[in-house]
Amino acid sequence: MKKWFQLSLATLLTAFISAASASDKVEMLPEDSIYHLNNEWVTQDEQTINIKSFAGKRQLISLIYTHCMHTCPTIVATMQNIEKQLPEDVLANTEFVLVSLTPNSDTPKVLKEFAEKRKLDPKRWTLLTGDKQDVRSLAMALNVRYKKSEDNEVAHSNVFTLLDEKGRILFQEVGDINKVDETVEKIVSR
Amino acid sequence: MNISHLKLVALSLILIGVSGSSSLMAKASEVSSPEGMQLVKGGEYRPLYMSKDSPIQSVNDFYLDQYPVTNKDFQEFVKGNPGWAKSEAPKVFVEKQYLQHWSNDGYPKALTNSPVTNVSWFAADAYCKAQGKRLPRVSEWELAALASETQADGSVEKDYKQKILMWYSRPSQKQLSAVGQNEPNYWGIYDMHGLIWEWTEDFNSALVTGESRGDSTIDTKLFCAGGASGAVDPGDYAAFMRYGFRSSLEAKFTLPNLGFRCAQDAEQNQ
Repeated sequence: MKKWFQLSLATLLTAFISAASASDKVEMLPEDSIYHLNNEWVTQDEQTINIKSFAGKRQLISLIYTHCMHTCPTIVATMQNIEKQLPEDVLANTEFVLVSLTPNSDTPKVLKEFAEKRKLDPKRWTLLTGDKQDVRSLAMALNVRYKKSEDNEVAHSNVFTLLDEKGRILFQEVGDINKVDETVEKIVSR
Repeated sequence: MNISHLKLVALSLILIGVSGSSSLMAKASEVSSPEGMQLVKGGEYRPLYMSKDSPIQSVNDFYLDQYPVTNKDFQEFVKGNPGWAKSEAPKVFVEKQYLQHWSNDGYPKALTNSPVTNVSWFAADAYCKAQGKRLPRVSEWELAALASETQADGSVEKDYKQKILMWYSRPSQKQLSAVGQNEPNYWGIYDMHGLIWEWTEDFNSALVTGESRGDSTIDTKLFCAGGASGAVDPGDYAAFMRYGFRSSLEAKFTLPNLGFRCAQDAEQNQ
């Protein structure tokens, strides 16, 4: 009888915890989590996802656009080099996110081609396009500055951001290929 | 109810009366605009820090709120959107000074018709979205603010820039006046200058680092395409101040002299 009681209590408790974590994911986020943005995006595989679904792992995130000729290739290359150099245990808990600053022209198909051309591992890399207001809000939350010109080019902050498992900003770094070692050390030590 | 309380009520009534009658006068001239908004005819705006040869931005016709959003307006919004209450808004969206001039029950009654301040960009953005509107873009705000009382382009008037600068050189008021106390500009819009700073949708398009020593020349490494910088009208000090102010902001900042008003595309209402 006692055993039966313990078992049912444990079952109840498990059910309670899992129900709470599913429905209260946003509410349970820390106050300084950018996942409070709670907005929806479309991936390179045409999946609609909520930004809070990135919770659970660390995310290295940057705002770029695929036809950018200058800084964006450096940011992406820097992030790829970081991926290569991270120790396996850290890498297992780290994912990479690129968000388009030109969502009108960066359709899921364009993002997919970009990812394939740059050999971005689909297991770890997510490319996002979405509503331009949501891009603006995300940039605001990451304190990224950008200015679009009429020829669909965008002058923008050349940075990427490391988010912790709950969407809090751990640090931001300028995309600079010479700083990879330094950044890897920083990620491992956090 | 004591005498001082009565006086306060009477004063508030007068203030409501003043802003009420002036809005009626303005409405008569623009029948087609959405309530509380005025049409601003589009035009051309040359971004301050672009070179003289850089492309001019064209601005479409748009509607702009006649007045900055008041404490009273904002309280209505908070009632319908409790997630934006003083004690509820997540810290990722607002600094801890968010609505610091409010008690937990709301704003001090004397500030009913004063512009709401101590609100972040996120809160202002959410407010405008809830009204089916949006924040004005920098180019739109600057175009509307260019108007004097009698002309769409006030800069051709001799004393115009000087008049605006006078305000910038005065210290902020301890207690903000009610909106709509001065003459409206050419578009029928009040308080573009002289009362508060205002949030714009894309204030983060000012490509400076916020570190003044680093900005004597823009650090081209920090910004893709950041090299395209220079100045158009070095005489427009007030515009430089606004540019500098915007550059120093982050979206979660909440400041006692920073409020907002909303805008809307003109096509939506045709």
